[in-house]
Amino acid sequence: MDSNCSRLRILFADDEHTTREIYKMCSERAGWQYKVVADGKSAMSELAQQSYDVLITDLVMPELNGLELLKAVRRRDANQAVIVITGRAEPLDLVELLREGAADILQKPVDYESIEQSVRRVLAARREKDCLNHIYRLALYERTVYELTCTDLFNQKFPLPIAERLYRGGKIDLNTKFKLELAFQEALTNSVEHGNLELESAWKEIIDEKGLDRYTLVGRQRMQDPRYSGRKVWVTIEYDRQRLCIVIKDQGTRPWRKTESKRSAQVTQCFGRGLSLIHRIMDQVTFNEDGSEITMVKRLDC
Amino acid sequence: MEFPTQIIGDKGYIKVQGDLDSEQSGEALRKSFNDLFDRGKRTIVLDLGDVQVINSYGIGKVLMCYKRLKAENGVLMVKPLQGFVKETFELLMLDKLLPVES
Repeated sequence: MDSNCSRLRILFADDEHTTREIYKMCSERAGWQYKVVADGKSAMSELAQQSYDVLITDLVMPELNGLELLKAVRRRDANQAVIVITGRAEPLDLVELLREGAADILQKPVDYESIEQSVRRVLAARREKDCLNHIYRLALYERTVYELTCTDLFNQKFPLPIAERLYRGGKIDLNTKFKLELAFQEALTNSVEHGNLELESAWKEIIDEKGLDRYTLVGRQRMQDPRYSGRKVWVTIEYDRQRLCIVIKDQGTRPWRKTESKRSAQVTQCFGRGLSLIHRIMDQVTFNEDGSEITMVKRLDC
Repeated sequence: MEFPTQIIGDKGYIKVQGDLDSEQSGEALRKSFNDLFDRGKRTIVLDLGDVQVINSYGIGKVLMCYKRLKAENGVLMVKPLQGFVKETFELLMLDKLLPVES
């Protein structure tokens, strides 16, 4: 056992007495500092008072089960490593556990080797992540340009990698990361749907006898038409330590006029919500003359 | 795909699952809402507790439900919001529009 592992603090949560005894034996053999609790609520209380390198929790527990505990813990601290022990998980359960951020999933029965190896894996992954986070903190300037098609973007999410890097480098908090990603997605959607595909917002309220709105119907039709779907979107993302600047340009002709006003009092209307979100999130939003290019700037408090 | 629904007394409940940001999830919401609406429910509660992301598209679908109920003197409510969904609602002041069922 290397010295890195022996200084670890591990919190175990399991409602079965026999399993809790196994965890105690494992921890003493590995030289870990540890605490063993019998339920999810006790685990939450313990985490509120002390920090632990890893939480190892059973999936099936009364009151607060392992999945609910995982969600609650990750919501409180996105960096908390959680290993989930499951006896009879269905594939969908496993997908959800991974989606909620479980660092590893072990199947019962567990023994010393499987727990120790899992903790090692989680520790190694965290070291790699910490190394990358350190590199991200050192970045002074970055500029990336993407050329995308409607097919790349229609009904799909295109990620904002710089937001993840800024968050992991400690430049922005999780709240700001979320808002930047949301503003970016809204602007991309506007460029594709209102720009390149020339879909009008008012069509969202024209519903046919099958319950389908005109906006969705025409969108699908135009995605099959190369005159629309072949149009491109260019994304330029520029970062220096003071600000993040995102420029999105499309090839739409825009038969209507785009406004820049913040529509704060008209939330129930069928248009402008995306733009309203963008204005509320970013510090500066401007358009070019024909509305085919949006520039969004977020000042960073670095 | 539809979201699970439940009727308790005179209220209908929709448990939205996954993110509310795509045509698929919007269609699921529409179907679940129509199911309760067609069964005469005019107070409908959305449970967004499992939703991590909602964008303007998803909000548009929520507002379509709001407008249909309002047209018949009904009410669209939400379960207590949290996390990023709560933030998004507050950004657009939807938290002032939709009452919270405690």
